[in-house]
Amino acid sequence: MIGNDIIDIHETRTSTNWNRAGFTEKIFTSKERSIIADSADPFTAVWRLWSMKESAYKIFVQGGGKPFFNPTKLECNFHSSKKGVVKIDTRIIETSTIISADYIFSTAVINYADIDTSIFQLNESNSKYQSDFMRQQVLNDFAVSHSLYGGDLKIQKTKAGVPKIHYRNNPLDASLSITHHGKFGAYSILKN
Amino acid sequence: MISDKELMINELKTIVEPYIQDKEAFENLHEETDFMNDLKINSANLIDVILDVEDKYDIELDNDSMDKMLNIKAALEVINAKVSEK
Repeated sequence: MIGNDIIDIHETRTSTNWNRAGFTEKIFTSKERSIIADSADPFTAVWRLWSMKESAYKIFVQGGGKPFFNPTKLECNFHSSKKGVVKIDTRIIETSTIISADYIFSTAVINYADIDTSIFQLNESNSKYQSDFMRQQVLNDFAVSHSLYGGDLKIQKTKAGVPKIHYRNNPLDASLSITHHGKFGAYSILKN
Repeated sequence: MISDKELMINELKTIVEPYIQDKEAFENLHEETDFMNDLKINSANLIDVILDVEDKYDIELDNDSMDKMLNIKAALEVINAKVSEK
């Protein structure tokens, strides 16, 4: 299983004020809040933690977990500047984060194998456009890498909202995660 | 005359407006409208909605209440329950 989350740094600076009273208390555990307080760059720490939670949450739902909205139920820890873990109930999910000048991108995996990741700059901010664009990119790239006819492929969401690639109307095993925010989008496919 | 419920839905509309990313869903907002799936409010901004609701109604929404607030109807129920506890 795989889950990812991208955060457009410039978009986040304008759309969300993490310093707002009560904001971090709603999202982070006391342990996480001390990680932020001890960080030389609290802004990046806040959004790295957030993207780790989002990516791990996607795995939780893929694995049949019941959807919830309570970010403090997921607790993160940093192991290095890239690697980290997210704990949900008794489950520990490993994450890896890329931090560039423009975005923060986290990927969470269970049963690590080869991951095929692509990050895109998006021209339009419309959420529907971005979602459609990202899906088309996944299908184009998947068709080429697997020598399949693109017209036989489509993406459908499961009842839990997890996207799956279908070939001639049959869901494939490959685990897929798609994310977009601000001017950036990314997909990750776990190769089986 | 408009009912209390309609009044509250209008108040919620004003609260969520800065964060919505689907204008059409916002214009057609009704009780079953889902904050994330329909209005496309991102999860960080959903925290802003929760904080705005707390300020507006002078209530505190604990994690369990937050967890329930998936759509307008559920939000109204949670707010009413918290306001009546005051």
